[in-house]
Amino acid sequence: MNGAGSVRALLAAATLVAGLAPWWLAREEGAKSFPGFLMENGTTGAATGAFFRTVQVNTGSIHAKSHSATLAELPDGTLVAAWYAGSGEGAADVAIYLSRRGADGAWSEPVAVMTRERVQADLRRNVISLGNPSLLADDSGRLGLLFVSIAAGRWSGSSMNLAWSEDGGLTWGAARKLTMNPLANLSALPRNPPARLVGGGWAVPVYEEFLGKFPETLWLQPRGKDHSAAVSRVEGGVYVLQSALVPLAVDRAVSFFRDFRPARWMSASWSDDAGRTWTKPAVTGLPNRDSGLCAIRLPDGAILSAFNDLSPGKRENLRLALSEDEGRTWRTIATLEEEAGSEFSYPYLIRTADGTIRMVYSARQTKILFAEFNEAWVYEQAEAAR
Amino acid sequence: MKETVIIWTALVPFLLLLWFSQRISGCHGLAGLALAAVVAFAVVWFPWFGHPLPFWSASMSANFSVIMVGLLIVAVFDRAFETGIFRPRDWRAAWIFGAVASVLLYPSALGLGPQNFDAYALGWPWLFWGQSVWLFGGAGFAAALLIWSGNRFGYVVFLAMLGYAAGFQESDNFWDYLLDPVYGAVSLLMILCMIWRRRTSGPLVPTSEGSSGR
Repeated sequence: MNGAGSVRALLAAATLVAGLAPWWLAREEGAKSFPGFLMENGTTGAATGAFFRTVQVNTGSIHAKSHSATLAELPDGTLVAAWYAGSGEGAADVAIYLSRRGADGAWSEPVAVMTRERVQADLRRNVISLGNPSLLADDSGRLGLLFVSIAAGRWSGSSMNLAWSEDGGLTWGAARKLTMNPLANLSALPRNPPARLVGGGWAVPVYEEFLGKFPETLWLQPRGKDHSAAVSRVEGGVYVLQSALVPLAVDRAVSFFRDFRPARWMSASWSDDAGRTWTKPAVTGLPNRDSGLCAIRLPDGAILSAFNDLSPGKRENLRLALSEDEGRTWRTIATLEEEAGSEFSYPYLIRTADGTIRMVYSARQTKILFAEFNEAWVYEQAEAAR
Repeated sequence: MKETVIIWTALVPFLLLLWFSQRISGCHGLAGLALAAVVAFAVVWFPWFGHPLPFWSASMSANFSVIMVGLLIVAVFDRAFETGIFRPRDWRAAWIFGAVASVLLYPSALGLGPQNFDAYALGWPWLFWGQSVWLFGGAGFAAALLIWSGNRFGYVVFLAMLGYAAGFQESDNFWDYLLDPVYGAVSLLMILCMIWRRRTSGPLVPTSEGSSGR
């Protein structure tokens, strides 16, 4: 081998090492990539008297559109709700609004925490509108806000951003862009509550709707002062999206999907390896008209789902259903809303530390409604529906 | 937003404009390059509809690949100084690499390939660590093989790997250092042109570099 050949051989070897070095250095993080779901049973609310109440969060709203609400509980019990509102979907005046409910039980005046102008300044790029917020709360009181900004067109031109608040949502740090797609980072939206992970971090149900329409999981895991972000596929294709992720055990979970095949039944996938892989979506016995749904696990292992039933109109009702076999079969137990010509959509359920089930949803995509009830009420309804 | 991201999003439109202005003006040499650079710089930082070009280009993509930037730099220098940094076979390797990577990545990332497989997820080594070795090892092996065989495109792939280690892009996915939609589309187009030329006139003759081998 001559001198030039030796240099080339040396450089080739160095290149191979340079290629593999980042992979090798990530081995420790890689070993923790699917750490398992944090199972939070909390207090059971079943022993107390049954109750159900509902209230409007965005009273006095002047917006023609208020939709896609999200909810989180801070360590001190304060509830935080966020949604997007403006003159219309994709409009320039759409902002992410936030309201808090403290010890007095009243929702605060909604405040625009993310506006198009602010996000544009944070990201230093063009933003034509905002949408789909999702809140992340941890034990330290730190609150995260995932939301989308649209660069062009409609939802298919959206991409995901993340901002943090250290004071329960009163003030927010600069938003940063998450890269989730190689094609100009287009089309990634969050929907439904994140699942907390062992060791900190979240598994956030997200979806894409550009050429394909499919559900994914955004894995946010602690790295320094922020979180690393990576996305894994739940299912490809063009027939399910907007998964509701329900941990069943540390390493097991079920995801329910908004399914827009002609049959219009809710479908579900199961994972036995902490969300790394999922079974092929199977149709369940729950009628769902291609609309957003949500689900949570109750302490006894039953799963409660809020969904739009298969009514002839659009989203004219909002019902609750219960499954006692990990989502395979369902029984409708209650109707929360029903009005011909109206619309009730995008339910978002959480179970707070005191065992109460809290839900936000939108009515006619103008009112953000808040409902709270306990397990005693759920089982009372289930008994009555038998 | 990282400052390096702003520089990066400015660099790509700047190099593209530089290359276009060289082609249009036909200027060569240092003077021609300097003149084109002044024009490109002015256009990049002119407030188009209130914002400079990097603002608009970042709106669509802040993750231009290191390989595309490397190829643009080579093209600009080759045109300015007729240095012949890249020979026809180096360009050919660049287009083949881009086309193969595009076919491997984009269909599955868009949900159009096998239903549960997303090649893009392999670009985060901490997510599917075991499987990611195929991407990192494959890119490293391809670059090493190119360098070993004396193909200069291998050095550009090597730079992309160093760029990923430095982490200066907005994305922390390895794929975004190797490939972007513009480089992918141009590569596929060039491969189609090469196939067309081979079918119609025999030997492969790359079009854009305009330089002879050393």
